[in-house]
Amino acid sequence: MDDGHPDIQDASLVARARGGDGVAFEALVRRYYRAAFAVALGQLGTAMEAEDVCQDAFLRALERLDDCDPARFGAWLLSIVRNRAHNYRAYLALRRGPDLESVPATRAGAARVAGREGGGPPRDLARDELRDDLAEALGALSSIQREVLLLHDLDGRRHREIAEALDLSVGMSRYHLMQARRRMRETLGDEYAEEYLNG
Amino acid sequence: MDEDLHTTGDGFGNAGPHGSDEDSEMPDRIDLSALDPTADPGRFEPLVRSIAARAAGELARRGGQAAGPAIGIFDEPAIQVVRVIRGWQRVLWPVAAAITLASLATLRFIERPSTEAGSADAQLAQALGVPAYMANWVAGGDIPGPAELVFSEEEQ
Repeated sequence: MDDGHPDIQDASLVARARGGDGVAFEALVRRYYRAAFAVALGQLGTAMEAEDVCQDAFLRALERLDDCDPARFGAWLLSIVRNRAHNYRAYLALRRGPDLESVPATRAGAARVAGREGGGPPRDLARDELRDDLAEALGALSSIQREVLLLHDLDGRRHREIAEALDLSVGMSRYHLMQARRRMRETLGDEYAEEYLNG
Repeated sequence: MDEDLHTTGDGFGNAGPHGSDEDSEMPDRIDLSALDPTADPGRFEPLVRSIAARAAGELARRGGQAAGPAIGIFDEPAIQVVRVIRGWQRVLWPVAAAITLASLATLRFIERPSTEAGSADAQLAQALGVPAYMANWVAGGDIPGPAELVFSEEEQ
């Protein structure tokens, strides 16, 4: 998410983007894409849908940029992502029935990891499988647990930032993170945990 | 809360996948880097380009507003009108030429009867049912001979 100019603050980028500066807007996209993706994935559970919502949310944010307090751009953007993901999720629920939380989690991820040990598949394939396993395990969490976990462990946000973005207290953010991690470990299994958890 | 001391700018700036200083407090962080959409440039760059391309219209609108209201005949709307007219030019020239040709042909057609029909007397004779050859004799002041009269009657 490094835009190459870490000293450039959001307020400056927002001001330039308001004036039609495409470079500044792109810098904001690069700076916040992962956080936006974390929130969208937390709500929706699949990367492809999360990407669609992210694209949509950034465009919506640009259209409404004049409504934004430049000093709070990040939290403001994530609230847009969250709303749009929520609406998209409701739309999907109408279209295809049960939502993420009603899909039972399995331990297939752990089994696949165990099966990989001797085979030595190409790295991309292993990464794809890992991604699938993680997505499956994330599906066993509540949306708020997923959002907190992804913002903290994927995007590196602090609890204070997460609390602001998700309208929670810092204590609740910590609680959801702890619950999410515990459940992820349970779903993924011990072998998986040894190989991939703890960073 | 010491985490606040490390916050830059607005408190919600660029974080990074492993940037949280809470890792030292919570060593059981789960490695979710496989889900990181920015980790693979081959995938991330097209995403950014796609967003930038879709944002181009709105950015251009904002850029136009930021430039302020245009003044004079060379302002943006006037230039756009000229461009539209110029675009139509290719079609308008042939259409104008066709209309001109059609107008000239019509004028010629209208003028021809008055010059070829002879005098007003001949037109009047025709209207009264007098044969044209007789009307021509009258108009020309010729006196037909008996043979001419006979042949003309036979031809009729």
